[in-house]
Amino acid sequence: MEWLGEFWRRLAFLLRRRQFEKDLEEEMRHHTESKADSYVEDGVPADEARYRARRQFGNATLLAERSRETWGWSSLEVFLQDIRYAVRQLRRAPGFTTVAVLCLAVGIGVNSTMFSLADGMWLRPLPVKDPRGLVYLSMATDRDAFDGVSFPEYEDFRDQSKTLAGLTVTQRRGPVLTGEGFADSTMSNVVSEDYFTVLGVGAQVGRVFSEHVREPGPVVVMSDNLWHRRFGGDPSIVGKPVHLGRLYTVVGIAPKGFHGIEPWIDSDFWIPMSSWDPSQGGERAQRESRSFTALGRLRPDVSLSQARAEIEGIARNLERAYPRWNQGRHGVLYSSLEYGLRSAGTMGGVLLGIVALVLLIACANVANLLLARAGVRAREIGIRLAIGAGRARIVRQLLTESLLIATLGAAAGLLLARWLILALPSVITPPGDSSTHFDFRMDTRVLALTLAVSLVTVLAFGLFPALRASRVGVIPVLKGADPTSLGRSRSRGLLVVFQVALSMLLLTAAGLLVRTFVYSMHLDLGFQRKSVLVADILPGGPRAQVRASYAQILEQMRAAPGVRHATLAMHPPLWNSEGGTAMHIRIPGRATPSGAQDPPVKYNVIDQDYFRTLGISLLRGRDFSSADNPEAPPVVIVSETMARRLWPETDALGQFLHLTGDAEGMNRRVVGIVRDVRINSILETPEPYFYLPYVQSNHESILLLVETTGDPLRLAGPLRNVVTGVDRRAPVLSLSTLGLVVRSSMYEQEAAATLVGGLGLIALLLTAIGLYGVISYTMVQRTREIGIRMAIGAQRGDALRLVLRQGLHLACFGIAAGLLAALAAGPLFASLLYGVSPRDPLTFAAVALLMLAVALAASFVPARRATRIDPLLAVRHE
Amino acid sequence: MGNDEAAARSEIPPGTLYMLILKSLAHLGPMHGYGIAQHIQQMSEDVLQVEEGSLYPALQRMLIKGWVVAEWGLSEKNRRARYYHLTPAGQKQLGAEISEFERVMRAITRVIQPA
Repeated sequence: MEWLGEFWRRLAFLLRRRQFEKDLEEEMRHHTESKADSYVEDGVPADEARYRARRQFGNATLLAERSRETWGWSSLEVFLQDIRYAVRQLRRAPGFTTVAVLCLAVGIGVNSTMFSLADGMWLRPLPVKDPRGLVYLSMATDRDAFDGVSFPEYEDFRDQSKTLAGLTVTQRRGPVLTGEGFADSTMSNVVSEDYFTVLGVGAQVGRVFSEHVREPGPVVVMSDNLWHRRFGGDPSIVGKPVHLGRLYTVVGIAPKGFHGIEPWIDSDFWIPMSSWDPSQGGERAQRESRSFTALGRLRPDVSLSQARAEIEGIARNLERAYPRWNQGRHGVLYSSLEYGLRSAGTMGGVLLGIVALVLLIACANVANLLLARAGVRAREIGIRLAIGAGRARIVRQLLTESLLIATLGAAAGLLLARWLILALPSVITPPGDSSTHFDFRMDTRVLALTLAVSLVTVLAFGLFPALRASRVGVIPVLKGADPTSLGRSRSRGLLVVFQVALSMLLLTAAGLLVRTFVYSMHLDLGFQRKSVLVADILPGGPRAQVRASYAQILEQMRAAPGVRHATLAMHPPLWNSEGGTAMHIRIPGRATPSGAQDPPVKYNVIDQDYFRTLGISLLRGRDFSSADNPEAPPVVIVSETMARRLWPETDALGQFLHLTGDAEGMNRRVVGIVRDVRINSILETPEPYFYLPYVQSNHESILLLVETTGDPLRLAGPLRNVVTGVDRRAPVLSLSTLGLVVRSSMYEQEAAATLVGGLGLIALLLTAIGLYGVISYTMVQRTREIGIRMAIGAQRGDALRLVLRQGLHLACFGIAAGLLAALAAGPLFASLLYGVSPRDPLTFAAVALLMLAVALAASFVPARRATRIDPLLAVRHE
Repeated sequence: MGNDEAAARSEIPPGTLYMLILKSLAHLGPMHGYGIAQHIQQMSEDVLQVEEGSLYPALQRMLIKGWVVAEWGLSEKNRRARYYHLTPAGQKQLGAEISEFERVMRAITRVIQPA
């Protein structure tokens, strides 16, 4: 408690400084006078007495200062003094200050934006209770570390685990919400009953469902977004039914800001499994349908490694019990941090690494500028050293200047970041995607990280120049030696080489990613036509009526102007259907090795003209036709890879296969073989794929595909008219084009190329500034030399070449270093590249040439100034 | 006054200045800086002389720590002087410092005593 009193007393001193100094002065005067008096009493003459007394008193100034220091605010005062001085210095060199602050602003702003991206996408904790305590369960294989779980597996783990306090699963579905005059397809989640319990989330209105309460009928929890969007935020919707394919009762509204476990995807409803599928069969019983994401919590006294061991043990048990489906499946637990980092993946790491490089380049620029300034201020520093400032004091003062620059840079950088954060979603949202909503903001975490980074940059760019600057030889400077020669050092050149190398690294990465994007744009996707309209329509009524409606719509659309072909399909290629549905197939007459399962093969359900509509080549056989009706023999069309895999020696045409969904004994005949088509991603390797005719399958939801001569979306209006004509109440749920779908499938490559390309250009600009600074500086230093050369006969062209050569010299070193670094770093992001090797010589050469060109350009202006040197003036230049 | 006087003076052992000042104040009652210095010099029979350069910073520190408080008053010669008095905390500190000093002295004596 004594320190409290002490603190108040010290504070009082701070507030009454001047009074204190007057007091001390008076006190010392009293002391001196008393002493003089005592001398006088001893017989010393008055003047002598006063003189002795004062001399004996000693250095009054020093005493006053020491007294002041004991009050303990001296470091604060010194700091304030330094700041005032730094402000004056910076104001006196506005050009330098502006460039330095701008460079830092770019570096810090870009970093801040990237933090906000990483935060919004991967790192921000979910708005649930104790988000960091969540763990994620994955049924991993050796190939795929991140697969989901099936519903029966979830039940097994939940029941058997002693280390998990709770486990829940969630799966994205898109039931259609229909109401008075509208039909929306929703982004909903089918979840286990204990979803809200495990997450620790309650309702803002009404209640949530839980595993303890048995609901009398199907129920849902609605999201806050949908509640406001569709129902105006009216609380009376709770307790009322909504139609999502069938009627569900709304029991509650989820809290605002809760979007489920993937925060950047909007969610509309949460439906408990018991409401979604009351039967005990279906997906609830399918062990191999691993479409659920599982997450849970550990018991409080259990460690993660204990839980991991137990989960793996349970997985082993499942493998033994169900060899058909669980062979080779490990149960893996990820902590929420691991999961977040995993989601970030290589791309996240690369992005963060790249913005760090940009910041380093910016810091190198500022360091260079500071080194140059140090040369100019050598005289001032020399004088200060001469009158007694310690070297540490000088360094501290210079660092304070750097701190000021960093503060200004950080402030400007944050402004820039705010603007960039607003623009960011449009760069990285897949085109045509309305369900993704990124929430990037500059919250406290991002701010704190930015501040920390800014402080580190002060050390990065400020420390070395400060140390060098303070090492001034006092005597030469005071004698008037050339101050600028002290700025001549190899450090500046080294810094520029460093910058060039970093830029090279960045640009190479950007170049490779751009080439990957271009490659993916020119990939042969297996289908030719892109101007295809894709429409999701929902005619009502029993199945026969639905099919009849579709048939009518098709007929009318085929006759419509601007339409070349029209067809139906379960999904077009590259449709984002999260893996695509598969069926198990068996070749009749061929024995399956015991213990192995029938292989699942992905498939599509299509109508006739599908291949013609999309421009997929029919290699052999025929397309489906009107001859293939429900009474005719069942047929199937297979892809060339499937034909090759399943019937390697014979022609697949005319062969038979059996699907697990079909009746026993019913075999389908292969009537056609088509080219491979990319199914889920543009970069996949071809896999077996087959097609079933719509009329011979039980499949319900189907899309309409219309190939048009012009812009497909122009047919939106006519299509709606046709649909309303056929079935007045059928909604058109979504309209897209194949072109959009294709672009959407490449958006990762496009986004990566855009982001990294943009950053590469920024780095290039910063490096150019740095190069320009150093070259023009050295040119000024060599003015005298150039003047002499010109005086003895050198031409202007020689001066130009001299300066240019210096620029190229630096650039070449940097380019070489950068190329080596790029070669070494290649494997790090090889996983992001396609169609181009990480050591692609074409890219490397192009980037090197670009850098050379920029170096030449940056050196050109100083070089031209060099040619205009007047030899007479230059020779006299100090 | 002269060199022979300077030879007779010794340095104030480090760490004992506070104790000496506090004791002086306890003895004298409220006193100004000059008076304290004089007192120490006299009581030690000119062996210990307090440097002004150490006295005033020490007094500042004691003010911070709350061992003394200061007040302006009039000296005997009718000059304005700043008088320091001991506070109860200072009194306590004095006691602590004296016992510590005595403890150390006893220990030193034990070491240098002839066997």
